[in-house]
Amino acid sequence: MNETLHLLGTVTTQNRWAGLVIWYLFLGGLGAALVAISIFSHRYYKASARLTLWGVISGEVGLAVGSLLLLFHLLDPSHAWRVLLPWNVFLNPTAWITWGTQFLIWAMVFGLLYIWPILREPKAGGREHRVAEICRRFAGPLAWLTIVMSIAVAVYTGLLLRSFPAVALWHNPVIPMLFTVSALSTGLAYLLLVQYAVLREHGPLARAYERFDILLIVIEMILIGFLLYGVLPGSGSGRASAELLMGNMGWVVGFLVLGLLVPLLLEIKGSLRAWNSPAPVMLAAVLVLIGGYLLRHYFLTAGVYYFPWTNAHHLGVLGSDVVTHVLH
Amino acid sequence: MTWQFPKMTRRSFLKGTGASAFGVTLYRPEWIKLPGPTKDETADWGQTWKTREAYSICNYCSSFCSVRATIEERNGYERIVKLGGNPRSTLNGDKLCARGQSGFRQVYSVDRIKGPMIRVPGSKRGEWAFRSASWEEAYAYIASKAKAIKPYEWTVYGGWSTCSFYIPETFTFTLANEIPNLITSPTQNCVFNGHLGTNSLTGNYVVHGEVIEDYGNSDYIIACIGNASIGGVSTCRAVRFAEAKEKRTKVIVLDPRASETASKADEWLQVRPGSDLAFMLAMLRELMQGGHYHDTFVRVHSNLPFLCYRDEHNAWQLYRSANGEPAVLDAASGQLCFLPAFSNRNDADVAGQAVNPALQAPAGFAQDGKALVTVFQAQLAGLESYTPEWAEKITSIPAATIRRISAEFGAAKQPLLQPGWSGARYGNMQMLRRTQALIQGLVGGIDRAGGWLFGAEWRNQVAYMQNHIGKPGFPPMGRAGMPFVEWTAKRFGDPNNFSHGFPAWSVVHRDSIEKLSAHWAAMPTSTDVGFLPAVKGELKYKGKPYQAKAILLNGTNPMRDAREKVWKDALSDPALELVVVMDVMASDTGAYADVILPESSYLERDEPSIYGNGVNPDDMLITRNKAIEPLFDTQTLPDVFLKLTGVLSGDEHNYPRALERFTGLPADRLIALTEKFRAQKVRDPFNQALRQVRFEGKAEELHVAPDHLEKVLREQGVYPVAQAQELLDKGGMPWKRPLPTPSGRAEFFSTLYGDMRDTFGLYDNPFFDVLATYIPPRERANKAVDAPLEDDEFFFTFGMVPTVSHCSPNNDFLPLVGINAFRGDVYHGVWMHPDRAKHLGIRQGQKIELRNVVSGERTEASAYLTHLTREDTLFMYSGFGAKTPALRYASGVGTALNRITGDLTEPVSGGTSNQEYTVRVRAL
Amino acid sequence: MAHYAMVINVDTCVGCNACMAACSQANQTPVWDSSKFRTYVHDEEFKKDGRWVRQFFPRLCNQCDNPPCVTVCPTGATWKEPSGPVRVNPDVCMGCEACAMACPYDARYPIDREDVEQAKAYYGEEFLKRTHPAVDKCDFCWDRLQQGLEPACVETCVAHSRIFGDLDKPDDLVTKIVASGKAKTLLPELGTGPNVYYVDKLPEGLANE
Ligand SMILES: Nc1nc2c(c(=O)[nH]1)N[C@H]1C(S)=C(S)[C@@H](COP(=O)(O)OP(=O)(O)OC[C@H]3O[C@@H](n4cnc5c(=O)[nH]c(N)nc54)[C@H](O)[C@@H]3O)O[C@H]1N2
Ligand SMILES: Nc1nc2c(c(=O)[nH]1)N[C@H]1C(S)=C(S)[C@@H](COP(=O)(O)OP(=O)(O)OC[C@H]3O[C@@H](n4cnc5c(=O)[nH]c(N)nc54)[C@H](O)[C@@H]3O)O[C@H]1N2
Ligand code: SF4
Ligand code: SF4
Ligand code: SF4
Ligand code: SF4
Ligand code: SF4
Ligand SMILES: [Mo]
Repeated sequence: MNETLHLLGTVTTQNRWAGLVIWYLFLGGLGAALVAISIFSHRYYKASARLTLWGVISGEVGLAVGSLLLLFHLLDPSHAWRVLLPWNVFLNPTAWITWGTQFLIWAMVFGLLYIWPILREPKAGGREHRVAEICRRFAGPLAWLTIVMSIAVAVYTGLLLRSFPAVALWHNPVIPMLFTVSALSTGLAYLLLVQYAVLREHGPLARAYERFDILLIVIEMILIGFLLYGVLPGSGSGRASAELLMGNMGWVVGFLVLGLLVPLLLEIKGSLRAWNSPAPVMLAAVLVLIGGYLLRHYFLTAGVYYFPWTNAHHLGVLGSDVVTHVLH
Repeated sequence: MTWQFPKMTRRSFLKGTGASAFGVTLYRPEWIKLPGPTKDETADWGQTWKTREAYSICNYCSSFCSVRATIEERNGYERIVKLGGNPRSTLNGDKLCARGQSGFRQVYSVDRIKGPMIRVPGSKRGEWAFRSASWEEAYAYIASKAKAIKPYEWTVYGGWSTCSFYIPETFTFTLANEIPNLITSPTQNCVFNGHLGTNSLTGNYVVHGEVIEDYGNSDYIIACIGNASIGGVSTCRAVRFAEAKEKRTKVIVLDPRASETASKADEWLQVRPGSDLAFMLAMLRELMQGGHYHDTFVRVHSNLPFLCYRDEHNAWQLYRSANGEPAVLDAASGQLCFLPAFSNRNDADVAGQAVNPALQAPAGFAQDGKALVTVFQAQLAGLESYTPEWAEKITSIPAATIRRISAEFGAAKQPLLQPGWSGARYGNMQMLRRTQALIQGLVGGIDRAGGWLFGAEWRNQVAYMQNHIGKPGFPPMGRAGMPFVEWTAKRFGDPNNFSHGFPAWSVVHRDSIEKLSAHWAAMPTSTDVGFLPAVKGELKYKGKPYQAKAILLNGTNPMRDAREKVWKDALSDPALELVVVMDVMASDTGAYADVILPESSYLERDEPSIYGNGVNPDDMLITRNKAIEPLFDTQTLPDVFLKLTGVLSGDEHNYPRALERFTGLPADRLIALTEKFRAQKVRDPFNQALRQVRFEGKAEELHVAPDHLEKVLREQGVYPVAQAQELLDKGGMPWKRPLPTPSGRAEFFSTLYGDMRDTFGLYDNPFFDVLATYIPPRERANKAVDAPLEDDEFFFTFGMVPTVSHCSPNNDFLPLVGINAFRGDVYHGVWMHPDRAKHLGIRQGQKIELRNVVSGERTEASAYLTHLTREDTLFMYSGFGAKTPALRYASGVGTALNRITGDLTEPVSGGTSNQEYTVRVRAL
Repeated sequence: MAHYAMVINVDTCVGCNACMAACSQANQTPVWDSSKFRTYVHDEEFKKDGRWVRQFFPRLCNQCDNPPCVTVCPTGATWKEPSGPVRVNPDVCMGCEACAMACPYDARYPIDREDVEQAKAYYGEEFLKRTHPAVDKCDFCWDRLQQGLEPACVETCVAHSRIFGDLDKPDDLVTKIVASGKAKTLLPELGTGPNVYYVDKLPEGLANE
């Protein structure tokens, strides 16, 4: 009789990192992108002070809210202070959360310092004035510190998922790029909304944003295509994730079509021959934002673990209800 | 240790792909390694505190494993934090099963009974409406009711653990109070209708602890209708089986579904339910015809060579001398010679002349007009028609397979046919177990390495009985094995033993109904058959009404463990004026009590006796030592029995006096010690008195100081006396000393059944045959077992789940509840083959209704579809379905077996037949 | 330096769950939640050589040599002991569950506030090993190892299916089994380097050691 260990398998998704974490990843990416793009535009594209403030402050709020949500998600928030300590990067350097937290903190701090002088014009002489002066003097370095930190945050949201080796959908080099690109794209979309809906600034910057966004969406599409057809088929976990995604209307219609394709077409059309109303662009922007959220939602919920055992008619211990039994 | 960069070299990568049951993830892991904290930097919050150990015996099944409790002390508090096996015990070593591991949850269970309780006026039995009371109140309440109740109107009902640990206490309590009615769950719902068969050959009888299978030394193992020994987990047996498994011993298991045991088998034979007897008869025939038997055992130590003849009723009788000596044919001289009536050997006649008993008498051999053949010949002739082909039709197991397995078994060096355990399934199970015993005896595998081993304790008891019986000072309850059973049958069945002149109602009931009618049983000892009629006032004895008015249930849960219909009816009946329940936990039976008396849990009490180490073939002494002081207002059984004797008989001293009369304990000493302990405000004075007296007695036997014995048992848990091998060499039965059968030999010709047959004139009734014969299962009213079933009709089977004891409230203990929930419907559902389910439109997990075709009982369950059961057979684990909300975790989980098991009993001992029907299934 | 490892002999496991019960009590796990045990025994059904069979499959943390769960921990609350076991310190853990996400073997589960509260009643407030919500996992019974005891599940395993030992000791049964090359680990392709091995049968000649 054959004497080989007989392994069965369970394929299951997880629900440990859901709701709050998805918002954290979304807001983190969006916020970081906002801060980065706004400051960059302010320095090199003469973006208006109002737009810059709108962008940076919204971004910081996004980062702050995202972090709060993550804090709520913790089993014991009272133990979170450790990761806030700057030197934690020396104590626990292998964990991306360690780095991410620092990037996030410093992105917020430098960002605030950068907009400080723009925010308010203090009367000469006072201490506040001196601070503003310093900020103004070091505006260049501050800008770049903020931009680097912010981009790092966006990249980190992807690296974090990448560090979970069991799940092919996450454990690949595409994820960090994808999440970064998506973050920037949502950032641009948000700024476009502000420009059109709030500030009524239909200047060349807006046009530049639209063009840049087209580029990002195209890259995003290429990355997703490569992920779905180049990466995932290489493993059972990946194949299962691909099936889950492509079999899901929310992903196909909600994200691929409405979140990517439609805004792309709208923006292409807009950049070829400008719309005579801001509505289409604003629609595109909203769709991109929703798409950005959906991307993260579906990526977390479609991450598939494969366990080499079955559990007779008992949902996976991970608590998910997407459990199938594979018999070998 | 130094952390390296991941060794995801090509080698391990390829090895990975090779070994993987699943694809390869495209990307190599790249997470970086850096030195982690070293031991001393790491916080050791897991501080270990001051602990001590206490030793006891598990109380969760009849394997009696030796337990070591770890007690932790923190800031003045004490708590049992862990149970484990006692490594010093050669019974189970440091191992305990899931039930045993969880045993101490009883102590801390939220659903424990924390003090005496009295049902609130106006409430109905079954509602669980109690007020807490003091012990004085409880006794007073019982006294007030008891005034109008005569001793014979009382019934005492003991559960399996009571009947394993408190037999002398319980039997003498009933006798001290002149109560002729004693029910014990383990006999009727369990062992009698299986083990009486086994015991007819060996004379053995120990509630549950019959023999231990020496799996480790066997080279061929067969199990049928049995899962508990291995897969249901009887730890002391499972560890021995694992040894065999590691040695790759061949294992054959007969079971309609893939039991845990079947899952370990080399061959799993999906036998048709109820048909095992046919398999075993065919096997017996193959072995006898093929000459596969142990010559010495069979000719020298069994009654197979005895000569027998057919009497005027055409029933087999042993040929005996005028003074009752059996006869054999001497192979050498061809002469008939008489052997000593009681002995373990056949190789010397009454005069001491050497004899070489023949297995076959020549054709036409006769003596004073009687044609004589040997028992061997009679049995073989009786088996003539039971060919493997015949068995195939009944069992659905191919004849060739039966032949092959019989041959392999016969050829094996140490073949082991598991004796089987619980018997409450089919009327023919006594005959089945008997046939299994005959087979094991035929190959000489009794009290011999690799076969069935008797527990050392029991062998000692037999030796004591054989050396002292008939001599002055031998206490009636000094009997062991079947002689004890026969004594109790007579003691409770004979009206002359009671001043009120009433025998047990079970006997009255038997004699007042038509012989062999439903519920008639030749030997209804300690069963409940007749109880319901007695409650309903249907019984008369000598013209006087015989009414059951009061019952004391101790450590038993018949509302779940016996036929619900019968017990619900009886316990709800106002004619039953008083229901007293003694338990540790809330239970479905407790819900029907008028008074609940809480016993201290097994980990909170010293026990009044020294026991043998369960079925351990090594001679080790053990007892229960309290691990912690009782947490609540609870008492020990002996002290309650003492008080109740005062209440019922007017003088509590009647109890110690009865103990002296029946067990030989010194009454005056007991009384004096009790007074002394009372004066010292000891919580359990009588219990401690008994313990001290018994320790002194045992110490004297061992020639050691009592406090030495006490010390060893408290500090080490077991007191080793002798090892199995030397005991077997000195006193293996029947090799070295007689078995406690009437003849001292292994009785293939059963005098036990012969006597019942003759007493009741049941000459042609197969249930009472002196030889192995076929009894068809009664699953299908007047239909052959292999006749086709209706579309929605199934055989129904059940089995113990490894995590619950019977249907007791340990299904309320959290770790077990959680584990059971994890297994889901495998444990809680009813197993059904997917093909049948499909046909009936039943989905996985769907609610279904089961209807017992015979009794009409219905119950709901959830369907668990699995290929691991026969298409024609449903299976259900039997430990669930508690109803009372007082069990907050168990209540409502799973289906209660005893709601559909009907009300069929078998005619020998009145044991329940819980599988003799088919069920119809309907999707809900 | 010891290198602790476990071999699971699937051939003898009878699926009795004694290990689960022992583990839960020894390590004060949240038994009221069936998804929060440190170890499980799976009840498996499959077709082998044309016949349906039932197999019991015990599993627990693999104490990986290359544990992704540890590298993703931002607080240092989880780490690998030099002797092998991967531990969690509930007094440091903040419960982000990144480790649980990183574990390919579903060996980690959250103990939340309610669990800690319920534990007070169930295990006795004075006797709690864990007073903070945190992620928990099998640690080869670290506390017991420190006291020179075997892991609780191994000690009580009625079928000698769970075999524990030190791979640095050539005479340990686990060492011999692993040396025989017959033992397999789970998802080896992930490169986690598990220290829990599985055999379908005890290699010839190693019985009753
Ligand atoms: N449904 C179902 N019925 C069965 C069986 C089954 O598996 N399932 N098995 C059958 C067999 S084989 C047998 S032997 C019988 C056994 O049937 P029972 O003898 O009734 O045994 P248990 O079901 O264990 O019930 C034991 C009761 O004693 C209580 N108890 C536990 N410890 C103590 C103690 O220390 N003192 C006191 N006073 N009470 C205590 C428990 O709380 C429980 O209420 O059941 C038979 N009936
Ligand atoms: N877990 C656990 N173990 C226990 C106990 C307990 O309560 N719980 N109680 C102890 C006691 S008191 C007793 S008496 C023993 C009882 O132990 P057993 O007598 O071994 O009873 P079960 O464990 O129920 O196993 C019965 C097996 O027989 C199978 N079966 C049913 N019908 C048939 C049939 O017609 N033919 C064949 N071949 N097989 C059939 C069932 O599928 C099941 O696997 O268990 C002891 N051990
Ligand atoms: S087998 Fe389990 S329940 Fe039975 S006595 Fe042993 S430990 Fe207790
Ligand atoms: S099994 Fe999971 S938790 Fe255990 S060490 Fe490996 S990765 Fe970590
Ligand atoms: S949950 Fe605790 S142990 Fe796990 S990664 Fe987060 S902090 Fe570390
Ligand atoms: S080693 Fe200890 S912690 Fe791990 S599963 Fe076994 S008992 Fe539980
Ligand atoms: S204790 Fe041993 S035999 Fe029982 S389930 Fe666990 S691993 Fe299997
Ligand atoms: Mo039993």
